[in-house]
Amino acid sequence: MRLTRICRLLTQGFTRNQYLRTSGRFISCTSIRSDEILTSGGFTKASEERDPLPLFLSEEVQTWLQKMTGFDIEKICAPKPFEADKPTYRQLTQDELEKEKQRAIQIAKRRLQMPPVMKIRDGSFEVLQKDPGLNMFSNAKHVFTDISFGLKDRKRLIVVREPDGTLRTATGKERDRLNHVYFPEDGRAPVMPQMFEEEYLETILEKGKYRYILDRACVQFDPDDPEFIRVTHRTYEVVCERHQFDVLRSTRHFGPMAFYFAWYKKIEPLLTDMVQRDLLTDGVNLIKLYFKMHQELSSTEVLEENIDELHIIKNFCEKMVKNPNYKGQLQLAIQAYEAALPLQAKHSQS
Amino acid sequence: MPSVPDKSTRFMIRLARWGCTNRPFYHIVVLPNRKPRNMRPYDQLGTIDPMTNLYGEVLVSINFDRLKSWLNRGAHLSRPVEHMLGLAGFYPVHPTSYLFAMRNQRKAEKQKAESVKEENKSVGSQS
Amino acid sequence: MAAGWFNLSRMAVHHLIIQGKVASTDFILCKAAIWRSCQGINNKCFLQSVRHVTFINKQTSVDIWKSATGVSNVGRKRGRARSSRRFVDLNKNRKLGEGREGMQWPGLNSPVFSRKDGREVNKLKVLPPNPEKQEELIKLREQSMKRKGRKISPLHRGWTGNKLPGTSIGCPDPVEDYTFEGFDTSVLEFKRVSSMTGTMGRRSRFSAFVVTGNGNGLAGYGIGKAPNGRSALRMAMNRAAQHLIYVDRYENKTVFHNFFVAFHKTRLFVEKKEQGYGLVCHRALKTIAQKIGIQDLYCKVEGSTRNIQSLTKAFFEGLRRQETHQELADRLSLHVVEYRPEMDNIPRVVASPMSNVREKREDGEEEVDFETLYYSGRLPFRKPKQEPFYSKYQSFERKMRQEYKRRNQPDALRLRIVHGLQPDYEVNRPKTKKQ
Repeated sequence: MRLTRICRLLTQGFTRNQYLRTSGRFISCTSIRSDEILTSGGFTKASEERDPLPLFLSEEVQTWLQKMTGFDIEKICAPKPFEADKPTYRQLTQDELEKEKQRAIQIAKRRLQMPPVMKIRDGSFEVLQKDPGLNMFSNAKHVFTDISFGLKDRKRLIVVREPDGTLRTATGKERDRLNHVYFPEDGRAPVMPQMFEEEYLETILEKGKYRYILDRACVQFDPDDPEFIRVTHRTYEVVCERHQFDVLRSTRHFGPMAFYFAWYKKIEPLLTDMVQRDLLTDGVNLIKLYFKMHQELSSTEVLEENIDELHIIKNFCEKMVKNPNYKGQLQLAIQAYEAALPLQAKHSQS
Repeated sequence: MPSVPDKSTRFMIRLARWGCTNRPFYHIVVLPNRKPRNMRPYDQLGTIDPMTNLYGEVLVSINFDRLKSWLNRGAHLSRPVEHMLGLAGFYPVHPTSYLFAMRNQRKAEKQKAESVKEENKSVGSQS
Repeated sequence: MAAGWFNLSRMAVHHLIIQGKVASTDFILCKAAIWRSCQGINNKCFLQSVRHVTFINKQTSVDIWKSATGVSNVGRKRGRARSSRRFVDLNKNRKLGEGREGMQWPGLNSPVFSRKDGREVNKLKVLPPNPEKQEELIKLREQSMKRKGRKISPLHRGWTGNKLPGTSIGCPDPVEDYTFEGFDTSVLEFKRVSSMTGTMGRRSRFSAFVVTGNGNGLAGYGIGKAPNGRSALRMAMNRAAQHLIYVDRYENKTVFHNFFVAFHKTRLFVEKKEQGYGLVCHRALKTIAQKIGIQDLYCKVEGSTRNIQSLTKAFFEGLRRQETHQELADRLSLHVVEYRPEMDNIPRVVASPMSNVREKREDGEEEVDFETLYYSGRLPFRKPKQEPFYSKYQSFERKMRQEYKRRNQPDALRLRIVHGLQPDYEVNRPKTKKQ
């Protein structure tokens, strides 16, 4: 029940705009309940049976991810590439200005809503009725869509009557297609854009346009679409390789990215970046997230009580990190941070 | 004397053929029976595209919400619409659907039989 | 050949001379030569009864020209000399002794005694014919006759044609140590003005009105008058350089706010515009804005649109009177907050008052409308969009109804082609009866 409430909260008040204007369409997820998600599938592979969504939607994890994302309002509401009218001006008192600032924060928060991390959907369907008497009633399969007003796309009833008489629910791909026929989404292409094909994706990633790809993927696909997962995971990998995590800070993609690295036990590069940028609280939150995800690992050694953040990270580095490359980088970062501490203290004093 | 049902005042949920020559497209509409086929309807409940698309599908859209409300108000259905709703699973399958299926099955069997005959003939002639 | 000339009528020859195709001297020499060469021949066909000495070859070419083009003194006073033909020097580029027939006249265009010996006398010699000689002469003559028009490339042209207004005339002259680097001057007005004096009668001068600027806020305008066009321009340019003002711009692209300004009968409504809008205004104001360095502006000129000097003065006055955001904030003791549509219209403080900000508004105080604040109570007239004349016709409505049916088809077709979903009709087209 708590899950559905959270889902409902997440879907409040978002408009359908062109993706250029919103730099990312918000995906409605009221109907994302674990019992509705069809049979077993994996986050990336079918072999994995764990569903990341409940964990992702939990309050604790959401808070951690939001804190890690940051809130640089100038970056969140950065100028979009469309022809704009001239700016308007107002003269405000201090009170009015404060109110306006609050309004701006609300706008920015909506832009930071994270696309949910879901299990990959497979092409499974449910057979509703088998009728051999209807065999060969037609050459083609008949697809029936419910176009009632007010239904969410994911909840809409779409059934298929095969030529052999079987009545079944539509697969995920069919659902996407049919929803596009009757209720096209602004900015969504009817066929997957070539940009997301593997070779072209590499070209764009080489140029470093991570935000563009991720924003467009949010508009084009549903979060459980195998293509969406492939594209986002590849992007996160490239970001990790190039150590360009900061590009995605203060965007809606940072949370899911951090979640991805924690899920696949690869938080060291991100952690290193956080230490380098003096974001130790974020680092500690990331470690906590990691332990929450992987309950089998004991966190008592690392997350001791009454020690400060730097020590937690040090503990993690010494005890949990196996990969020598990552370990070396993290150790270097910690050393650099420690070396800079006395200078920082001096600077703050003066 | 058996009474003939007065269809003149009946609301019908029926098909209006739109599209153009050699390309039919049907609207599922609500109109009194005697009115012209393509007259502006009381309500449109959906569409049927009988020509298969790239994926070999015949697309049917139905606004079940409004359909239910019209049915509650006493609308009658025409045969093609009943056929479609049967296929959709909303109604039980219509006898015409079974009829079509049976016809097609028989045709297929016949063709198969003929093709087998021809094969036998050619085999026979060879041997 | 020259023999044919004998048969031309006197008037025909006269015309040939006027048109410059033949020099009168040419005619005489040729005839003399032929006459001499024919002396020994008893050829009756050459000895026609022709008058060889006519008024045409008695007089000099100058006199003949005068008779054709001259205007009497009275006529000159009445202004008849203006449209008369110009004198053409037909003997230009020609040497004595040259002619259509290439001849060497010893003593005239070749030495009497030959160079080799110093003793032998050169004889009359007929040179090989040069058919292009005449054409060459005519060409050279026409070239010198032609008035040299200025050929300017389209990018550097002024507002119209071959005229000066709108063209650039370079940097002002340096003053002591200061060279006006980065400055460019543009002519706004270049006209010939005259006044009636007691002594000389009509005295005309050239009046030049120019604007100079460095494209970075500094600009000035000036007038120069002189009898000579070039001097006038120079004078104006230097005067403009002496009267520079600094114009504050918003983000170096546009003005700070909309404003209204008037000078005599010229009224301007200037509007601030977003980056990329361009200069949509009177051509003179466009030129001035380019010199100042304003890139995006809209301006509506009402009243007198042709009085360039009033226009310029009004524009400069308006720019000078601008209130920057900081000044506005200080004046009202309020924050000046900017909202940009491309940034989700979040508030961004552009200027805060130096001294204390007001916490709350006074009773009954309303927010000032920034758009119309500096219009001095006026409002610009926005022309309503005129519908085309055919918008109410039945035929048009019918057409719109038909087009509505196909409203998304062109875009859908394009998408299908892009994604390779469009079947190739050329290959699969069903054959019709005609085929």
